[in-house]
Amino acid sequence: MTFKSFFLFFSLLLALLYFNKSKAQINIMGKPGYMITPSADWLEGQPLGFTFSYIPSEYSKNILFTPRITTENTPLNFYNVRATLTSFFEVNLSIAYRPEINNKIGVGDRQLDFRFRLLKEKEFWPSIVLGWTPPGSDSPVLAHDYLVATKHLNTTFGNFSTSLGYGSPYVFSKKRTGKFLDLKVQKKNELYGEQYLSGFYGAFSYMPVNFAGIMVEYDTQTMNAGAFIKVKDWLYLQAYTFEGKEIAFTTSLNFSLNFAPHTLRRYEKKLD
Amino acid sequence: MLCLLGFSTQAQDFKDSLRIAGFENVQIVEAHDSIKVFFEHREFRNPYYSMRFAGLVVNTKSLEETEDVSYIPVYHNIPIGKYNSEDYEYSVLNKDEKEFYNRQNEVFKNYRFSIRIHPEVISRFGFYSDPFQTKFNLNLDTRIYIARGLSVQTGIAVPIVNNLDNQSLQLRPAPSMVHYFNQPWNYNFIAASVGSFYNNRYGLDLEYRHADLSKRWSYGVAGGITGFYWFNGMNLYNEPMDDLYLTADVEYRLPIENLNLKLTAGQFLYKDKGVRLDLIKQFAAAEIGLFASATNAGTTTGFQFAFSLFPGKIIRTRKLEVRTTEEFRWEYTYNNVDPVGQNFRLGMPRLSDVLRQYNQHFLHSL
Repeated sequence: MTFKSFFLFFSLLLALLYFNKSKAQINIMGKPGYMITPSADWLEGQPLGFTFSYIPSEYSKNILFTPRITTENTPLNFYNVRATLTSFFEVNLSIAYRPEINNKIGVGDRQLDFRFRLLKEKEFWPSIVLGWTPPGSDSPVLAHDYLVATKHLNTTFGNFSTSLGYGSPYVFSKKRTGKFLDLKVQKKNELYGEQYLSGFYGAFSYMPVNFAGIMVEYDTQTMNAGAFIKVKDWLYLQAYTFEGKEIAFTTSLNFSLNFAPHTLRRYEKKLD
Repeated sequence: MLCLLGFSTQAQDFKDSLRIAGFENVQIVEAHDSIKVFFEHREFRNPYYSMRFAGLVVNTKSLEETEDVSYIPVYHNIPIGKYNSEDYEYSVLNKDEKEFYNRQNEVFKNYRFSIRIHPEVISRFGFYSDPFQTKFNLNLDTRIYIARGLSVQTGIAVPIVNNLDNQSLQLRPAPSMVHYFNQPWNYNFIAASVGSFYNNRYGLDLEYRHADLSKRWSYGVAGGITGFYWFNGMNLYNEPMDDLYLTADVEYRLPIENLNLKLTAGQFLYKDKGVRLDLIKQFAAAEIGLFASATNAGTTTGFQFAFSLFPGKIIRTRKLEVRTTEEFRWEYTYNNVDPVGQNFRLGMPRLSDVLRQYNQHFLHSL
């Protein structure tokens, strides 16, 4: 073993040992993830998130296909709220808004779903998250259920993360009886023609510095690539392309909810 | 004698410092190795922070290490319980402490005139012609204590935006009520309100709750008889007071990261019978809850959140205070057509929402 390869091997080992809190960026629907796909990351210490995302008209039907209302392709916006209630349970609320045709669809489709962290990331184990959309919606057009594993590798030349997931191609649809839990299981693409997160997906990101990174993913339909920047601890911006053709972006704000009232913080500052 | 004089000047010193820091109705019981501080702090929602604040103020006044400090937070002029400053362990007040408080509790002298800025946001999403219908008012109100546990809350509502309904943008009276709060026996709390409330309801509202704040279980009943009212400027329209609600609930604090489960059953507003299940997570600065209801009117799910508005104190002098509300609460229901399992808001937090903050398990976790 030459000195150089020994050094590389040794620094890689050392890099594996310093294992810090995962810093996650956020996907289109406000969940820890990449661009379109969710990951198994967990935002520690920031239980509240607000995310806005823009998807160009050409690719909007990949996420939300609504031929029953309109076949027009128009830009799609997502407004998302995320609340992490425990270290293993998270709730997400999304509103899919099409500003150009709001007179036809109103505020848009609403989506409520949960994320469960089944496994925390360990030195050699990935974190595993189960995403679940509770059945019962009248039009579960945004419903997605998935299992995803994410592993981080923090090295001296940057932080890598990779995810592999599987999204269920089935959805619970409501029978027309109007009863709350009168459900049947249907294939997503047979019900509405939805394709979002049906099948295997994978993603990879690299942060050469602690405030920015690049990423690439296969979201079950297209290959997407982009970059993100951490402007503040609580503010992430990202821009990416669908198949190198159209540009989309996401802005995400994430906050702590364990802080003292303003008056008390000011008093404590004065004491120091 | 000299020694007593020494104590009383120190106590007076503490009282003054605490009052300047925003505390009201401050009473101090000093013994040779312990100090008990009664106080009300209306700006903070979470008593953990008012106790921590009191501790900072008192400790900077060079307390001796051996002194045992406990706090007795007062809510709506009624002491809730005694908390040890070390680990926030809860205990009930003894007879002497209660008598001392009653002697010292001079409601007109011990409080500031407090003006509270309390926003009210009512939204309805989803109508195609106007997807974001919102009514937004800034309510400026005050609470004046008139006797032990008895207070009057009143003020004016300043409408800012309204594209929800045809209520005018003229100034109108804010919800105004006479309110009585008490803990007649240890662990047992009652609250009664008469007047006009939020959600266009007026009438009578009663709540009872049993909550040993060192335990995980609590339960309560609530009931009221109300009618619809509506102000357009100063013009009042009202319907008869004939809608009875009566619900009972059980709440359990799960041993998991400040999660609470609450099951409420009974007759809700608009004579709607059914159940509602709440999952409530308490953070230090906020509360986030999910709920599901199933009643005669249908089923629904939704979420709610509550937090103190920034910045809190705006102006504070010896006799006057202007502040933002200690609790802004908002609830979103997925089913926004039929009112399922509805209740109205009083204009102050309901008993279960207040007492949840005082649970020793919660305070200990912070």
